[in-house]
Amino acid sequence: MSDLDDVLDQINHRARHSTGDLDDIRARVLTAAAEEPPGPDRFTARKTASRRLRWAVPVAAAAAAVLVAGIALNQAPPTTTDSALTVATSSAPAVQLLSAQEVLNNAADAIKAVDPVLAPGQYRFIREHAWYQRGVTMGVPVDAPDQTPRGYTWLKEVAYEKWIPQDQSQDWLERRAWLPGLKWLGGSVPQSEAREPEATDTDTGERRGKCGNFFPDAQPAKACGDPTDWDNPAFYEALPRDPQAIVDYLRGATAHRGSSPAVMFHWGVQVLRSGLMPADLRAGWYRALALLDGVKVYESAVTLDGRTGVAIGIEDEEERRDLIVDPATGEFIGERTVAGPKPHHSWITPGTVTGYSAITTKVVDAIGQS
Amino acid sequence: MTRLTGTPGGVPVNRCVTTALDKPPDLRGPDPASAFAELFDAHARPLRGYLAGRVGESAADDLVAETFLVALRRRHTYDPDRAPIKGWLYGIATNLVREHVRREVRGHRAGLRAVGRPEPDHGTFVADRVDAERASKLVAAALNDLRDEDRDALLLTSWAGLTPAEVAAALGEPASTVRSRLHRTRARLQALLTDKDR
Repeated sequence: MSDLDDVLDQINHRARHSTGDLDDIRARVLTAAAEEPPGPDRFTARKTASRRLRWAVPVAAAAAAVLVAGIALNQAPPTTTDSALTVATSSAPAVQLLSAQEVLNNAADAIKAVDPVLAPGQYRFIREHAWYQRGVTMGVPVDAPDQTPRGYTWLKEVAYEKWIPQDQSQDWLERRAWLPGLKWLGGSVPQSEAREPEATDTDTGERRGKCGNFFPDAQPAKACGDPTDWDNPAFYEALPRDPQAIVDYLRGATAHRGSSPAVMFHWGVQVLRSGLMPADLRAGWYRALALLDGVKVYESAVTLDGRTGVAIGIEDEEERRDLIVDPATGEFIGERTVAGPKPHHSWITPGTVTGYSAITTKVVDAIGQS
Repeated sequence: MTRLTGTPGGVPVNRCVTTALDKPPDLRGPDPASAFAELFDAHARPLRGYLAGRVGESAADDLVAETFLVALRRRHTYDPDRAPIKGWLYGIATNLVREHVRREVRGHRAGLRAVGRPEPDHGTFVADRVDAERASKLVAAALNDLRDEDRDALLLTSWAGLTPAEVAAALGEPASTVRSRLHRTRARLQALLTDKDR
């Protein structure tokens, strides 16, 4: 227990430790449970706000019971390169010769690569070149005539590099760097008035740790060969190869998000981003994504870091996640997010590419070598 | 200063130990009433404490009820082999907290439009003890400035006693991301406390 835990415990302490009566709530829940027919899940079929992709969704409000001013929003996951950004607002392909199912199945058929077997002393090297959103959403004074939330969004260019040793119990290395790129995505204030994002302590620097344990103070400690950790090669060994079984896996893994096709697709892309998926699993993975309802080609040629692929996704109201794959080789090139018809922020134009990442992998002979 | 912190309702729980409470009842079985009675009795009290910290006492009761009702409707999707029950339940609650806040914000907009009431100048997170008021105010203000995912991960561990694996299940993120997030967030807040003492 640290000082920080003690201080956190003092915050809203009285509310958290009140001993209010729960009997009425219990009765309400159990009455509903008694009336619940055994049978299929009704909730997932409903269109509710909670089907949104939480991990891709910066919620434009603080977790607070009242309106809080000055909420910093350093949004999570990745984003885009020049070419992807410039095509942003016209994501419909000019010519669409193949369906998304055909593109994905062709990509699966085209995977001929045999994964290299790492020799002792060699490393799997994974590089992610990405543009992440950074920005600020500000609270609105309650007496302001215009109650539209205000703020702004930047795209920041970053590079994350990781070396995983053949013997995973040895040191792994991760290097994070902020690259010079910075793009203005929009805001309710002029760009000149928006503060440029600053790197936090985990945005940059080099970390080493056996079994990928880059943050040794975190508890419980990261386990070597943890099959539930998708940053770990063991995770991929445990997954099924059959497309329908993969669909079932995606459904189960996203159950807490309602398992809608868009959520399952998003999850599937998120796992691909690790750069660790072996070729035999990747083929089944593409075929599984092709089975999801609503999967569609959104752009026939997207170039990320010099590699061109087809962007495939499933429409979603606020933000769409696109997988970018080369159908000729089955190579996973990267991914991007594109603002939907109702973007998270009023200052983002629908169709804008709100982030992307290009993933490359190879085998190297020494740690730190690229 | 008490050492039994972070557990609402005054029940000390070692956050790193799997307790009998973590063994979930059979939510998908033929008797949802018994299963949910067991689930409610095991988790409702600490969940209410957590939610009261997040949204205030009056809204917490509604969110406790809503959490269990959503869990009831979704019980067929819960797979005990994939996610710890606590992570699943608090994941639902976390979604509801976010939706609640969005509704609050919209309510403020609708109800207070053109009304010249001043904006509250305090955050939602307030310190209760005088002896550490300064540190608490500092951290409470910083909590309001955190991004949602960071705040959720921090408070799910600190207030609700979830492990990083349970937080990962709750937030739908890889455990490694949660660890990195917690490390960064805690370091940032700890630095505030260190600076204060200088």
